[in-house]
Amino acid sequence: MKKITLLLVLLTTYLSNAQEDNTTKVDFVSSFQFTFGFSNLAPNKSMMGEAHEPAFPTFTARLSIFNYSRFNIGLHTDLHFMSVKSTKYYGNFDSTDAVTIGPFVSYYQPISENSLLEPYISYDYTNYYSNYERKKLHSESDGLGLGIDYQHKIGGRAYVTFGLKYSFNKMRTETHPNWEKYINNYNFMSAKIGFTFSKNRL
Amino acid sequence: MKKALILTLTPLFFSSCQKDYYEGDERIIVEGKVVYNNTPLSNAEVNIYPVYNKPSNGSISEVYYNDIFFGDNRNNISKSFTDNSGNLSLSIPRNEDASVYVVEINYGNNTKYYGYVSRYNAGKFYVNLGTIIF
Repeated sequence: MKKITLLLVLLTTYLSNAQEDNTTKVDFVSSFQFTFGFSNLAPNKSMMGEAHEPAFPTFTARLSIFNYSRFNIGLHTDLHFMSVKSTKYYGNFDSTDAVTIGPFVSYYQPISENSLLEPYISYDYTNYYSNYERKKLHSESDGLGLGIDYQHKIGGRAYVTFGLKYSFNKMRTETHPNWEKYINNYNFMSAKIGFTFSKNRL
Repeated sequence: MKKALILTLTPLFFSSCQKDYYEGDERIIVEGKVVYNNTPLSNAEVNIYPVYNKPSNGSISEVYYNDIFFGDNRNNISKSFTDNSGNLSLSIPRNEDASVYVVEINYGNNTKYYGYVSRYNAGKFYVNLGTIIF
């Protein structure tokens, strides 16, 4: 936890103090975002979606590593916690923790002097860890995330951020063909609020 | 004395920390129907446990509690209830140690076991228990 906090402080400090140069087209480590919110909202009819309550809290972080003009390529991570509400197909577990990591590509578009929209697309590799008493279950999924952030400048290089994302996930589970769609296809929405620290944007 | 105490307590420590580990890379679907006095039995509790029995074929029939090897942990992996038509439907993720499962059905004060779900009948990740007469 200390290491994570230290990393967050270092990144925000770096991005807050970096020299501004609006003429630069290519940049590195130009933006960092951390947010919290809800996940597993409005899931599709699937084993994972029907088994779990909406996730709260969800923590997400995103780091732009390479930036060209308004395009960004980077890494994102997401951690969310869900209670199990239906054991019927998922198994007799109490809770599930999900950890997602993957790359993303985004493009930001200023919409006023102080605000911008940033749509993005991400690959989401997720590990799920479920527990109950002495039992543990581990599962994996591959996903495609489509999201959009609204960012409003609040001073310096800090932006307050609101975001929505829809994730299309495919569980890495082998099962009977008639059940594959229900067991493997897992889609849901996420909503988040937090801060983004960026240079060279507005 | 200390050595004896450590030697005695170490296995106890490990056994008390034993866990059931499951992987979600495979899931067996289990379906069936439960009837009682020729009528569908609704709202009967259905549990599935990993066991260490070694069935020799894929037939499903009632098995007796004393013949079931639950291992150190008697933890159900799946839990559900029969619907109004007496149908049961669950799925089982892969247990890392056991590949055989027994189905427990509870209704009122009666508990019965049916087995076994194993490689003999779950080759395509699907087992139909048929009609179970409770």
